[in-house]
Amino acid sequence: MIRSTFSAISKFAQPTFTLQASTTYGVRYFGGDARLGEKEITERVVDVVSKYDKVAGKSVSPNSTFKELGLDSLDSADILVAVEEEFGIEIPDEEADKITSCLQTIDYIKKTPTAK
Amino acid sequence: MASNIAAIKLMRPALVSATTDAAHRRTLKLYRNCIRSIPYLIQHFNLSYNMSDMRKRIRDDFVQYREVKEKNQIDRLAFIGETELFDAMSLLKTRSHVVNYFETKLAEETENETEQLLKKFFE
Repeated sequence: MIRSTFSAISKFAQPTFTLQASTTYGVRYFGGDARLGEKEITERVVDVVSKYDKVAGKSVSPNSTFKELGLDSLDSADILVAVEEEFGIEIPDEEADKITSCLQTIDYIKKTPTAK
Repeated sequence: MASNIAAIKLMRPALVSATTDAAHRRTLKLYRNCIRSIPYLIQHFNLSYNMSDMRKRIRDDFVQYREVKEKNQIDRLAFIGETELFDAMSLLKTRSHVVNYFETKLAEETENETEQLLKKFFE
């Protein structure tokens, strides 16, 4: 009796997070995968970069590097801090030194589950 | 005496970077920490500056020493910067110290401002 009810419950309970969270976009479940979608991350990163003063007037694509946009190391540090604020995370120093393009920023945020 | 002990506890060794690259990374880390701490500075010291102006002031300090290539020199400057930031963030500085820092613009800027004023005046 107990075993049968348990199996019924587990059958009922299991598919809710695994299937739906991966297929639907924009709806988050408690206990499900709360990571952001790639599209949303890309949009927001490009938005943050294009809002930076020195980038004004240049078209920012997800593939552009900071060097191509005419930014030096201090500028990219500025942008990373802005990205940190946008997503509510803190990028550790070793990672931040490696990031030199929009694509790398997006990749890092994809790897970070706490980004929101 | 008690304050003396507290001061000794806060004392940090002057780090020496292994390579020029490491020193460069150290300065970038310092810059990032400065930028991150701006909102806290505003909160602690009740400042009324524009955040982008403050960022620009800090940035000018770093740009000023752009030509410094020697490792020991970079280390020395980074240590000074770290100490200043630490002092400001741990409230060892008073409001007037911080205000003074942000009020004093570096040489080039003040010239530009006066030039602009003169231009406006002559127009």
